[in-house]
Amino acid sequence: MGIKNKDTKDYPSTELLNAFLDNELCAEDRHEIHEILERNASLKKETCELNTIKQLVREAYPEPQAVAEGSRHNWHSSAHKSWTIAASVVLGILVASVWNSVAHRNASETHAQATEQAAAISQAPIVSSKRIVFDLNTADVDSINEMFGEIEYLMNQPSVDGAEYEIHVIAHGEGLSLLQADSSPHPELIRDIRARYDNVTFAACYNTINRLQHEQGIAIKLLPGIIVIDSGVAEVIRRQQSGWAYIRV
Amino acid sequence: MKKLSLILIPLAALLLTPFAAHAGGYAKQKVVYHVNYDNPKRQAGAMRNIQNHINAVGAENLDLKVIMHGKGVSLLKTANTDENFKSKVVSLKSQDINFNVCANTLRGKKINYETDLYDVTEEDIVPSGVAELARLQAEGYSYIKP
Repeated sequence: MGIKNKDTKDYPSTELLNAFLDNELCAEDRHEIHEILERNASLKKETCELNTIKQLVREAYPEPQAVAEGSRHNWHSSAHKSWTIAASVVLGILVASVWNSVAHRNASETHAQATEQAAAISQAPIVSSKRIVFDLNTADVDSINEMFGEIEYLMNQPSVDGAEYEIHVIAHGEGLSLLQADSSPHPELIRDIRARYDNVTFAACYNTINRLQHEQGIAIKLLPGIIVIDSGVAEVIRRQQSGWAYIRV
Repeated sequence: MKKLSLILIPLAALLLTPFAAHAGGYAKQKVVYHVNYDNPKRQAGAMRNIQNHINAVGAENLDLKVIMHGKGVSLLKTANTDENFKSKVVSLKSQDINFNVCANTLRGKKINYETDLYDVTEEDIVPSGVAELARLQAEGYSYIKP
């Protein structure tokens, strides 16, 4: 992905883009970045990807409440920035040294910490061996064929204790082409699997669909019966959090 | 700011030194590595990842299995002929790392594990790579695809 325009004036720093996405910029700066993004398609795409990652991180780790109101700064004031960095380094060292001395001094406290950690782990979702998410992010023919082989095998396993396999295929990025009406290498197979097994579902990532529609200027058509989800990666995380086993195709 | 960093960075290094000594302080881990690709560089990288994982956590704290299926089975095929691959596999096995192979793959690709693959016994064969990956996750193993 080569960004042609490396001119610093027209190429905002990563920090600035992050501040933009975090809604930390003042009005003029926001406006300026909007204009730069309109001029530079690949940068716009990168910014969209960065935003997706940020959303996922927010979803996975809820933000702490105590963010001071005054944190919306003007990024032109570099003195402010250096003092913030200096202050956080000092704070980091203080926290580290306090934590350090506590950990060394008191073995039982270390033990308490371990117990706390174990408690946190026990709160993790109970993963079922019968519900499997396939994360499909590739158009590699062999990998896709193998995935179908695995699906057939799993669906033909006799059910133990009445529990049958449930499979959810999440197609995003290059993986989307499998579910596209005009490019899928296996439209019949997908129709056939859907007809035979109620427990197998195929989902397409809207972020990918949207990006391709912008890039190619054409409407993306999916095979019949495909679920559209907001974001492939977010869906993977949601499924894992509700106890689905994960396989990267 | 520069002067400040000159003071702060060594100070930070000094304070953080005891952490380095405690680097091995991981709790026990259960991990499954998934290999279903035949790129030898990527496979060698996976084995390097595993060795680094052992070094960080300590073999005594680690229950680590490698599940190979589809094209990934080629790792043990290569180990049969390539000394470099073989020594890596031997070394990992000596540290209690399990290498498991998918029975579906052996059947589908008509592979005789006794002659075609390096050091595989019946105990190393699992009925299905994917079902085994799901079963292990249900038992609390973390999934890594290097």
